[in-house]
Amino acid sequence: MKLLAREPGRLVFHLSAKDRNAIRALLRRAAEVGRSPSPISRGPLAALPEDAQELLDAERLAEWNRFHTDVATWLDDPARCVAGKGGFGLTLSDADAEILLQALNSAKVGFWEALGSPDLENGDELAPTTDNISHLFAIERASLYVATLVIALQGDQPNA
Amino acid sequence: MPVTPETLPTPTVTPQEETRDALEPGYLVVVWNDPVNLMVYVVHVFQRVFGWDRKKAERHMLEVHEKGKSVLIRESYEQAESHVHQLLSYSLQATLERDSP
Repeated sequence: MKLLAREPGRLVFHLSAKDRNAIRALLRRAAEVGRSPSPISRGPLAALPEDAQELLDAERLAEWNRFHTDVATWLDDPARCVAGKGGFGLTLSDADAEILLQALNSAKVGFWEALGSPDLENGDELAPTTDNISHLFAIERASLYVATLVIALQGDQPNA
Repeated sequence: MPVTPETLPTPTVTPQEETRDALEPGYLVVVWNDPVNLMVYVVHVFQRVFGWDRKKAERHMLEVHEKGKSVLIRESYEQAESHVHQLLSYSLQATLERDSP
């Protein structure tokens, strides 16, 4: 995945066929893996309604599901994801690129949570095994796409 | 003239006052460190959610990274909840905390 052009309000990416398949697979598998609840607070909150946590988690999951559906639709849309030499040209508005970014990062964090949320920089060890290698690969792959999207959205130079 | 001590009535909190309390700035949006989100991603999210310039976003990102957390903003309950929701949508570890008086 490479940024081809940055025009006012929109971004054009080159996706190889492998990229397109990888993004589809990442999001599909992320939906199967799921996400852990995130506590809205780590301290006492007198004003917090009892069901606020459940509502927040449900709302967030629904939002990510919408993101995944949107991205799948874009990748299948021949007008938006145009087949060309060596892959596809994917045109996204800045807002849509944000959605793709959130979807991919959510997938990445979901795989990390599925591995037990290891802190590899601070002593946790996680040797690749046949059980976890696909999650580790998914995290690395998603990280590459996330970094590419952030650089594109920040308006830095296209990555050649 | 002797002064007669008076007992002041105990103030009662009405639902209206509770609502007002929830609207007044007194809630903190806190982001906690995690080992999974990229630094550039965190900076981008702070800029996107709060409209900060890159310098301010980077300062808070580094605070999260080095100190384990950063208080991003102090605001009303409704505003803080909205910001926490946005940050969670980006998969950052964000929480809403009541500010100490």
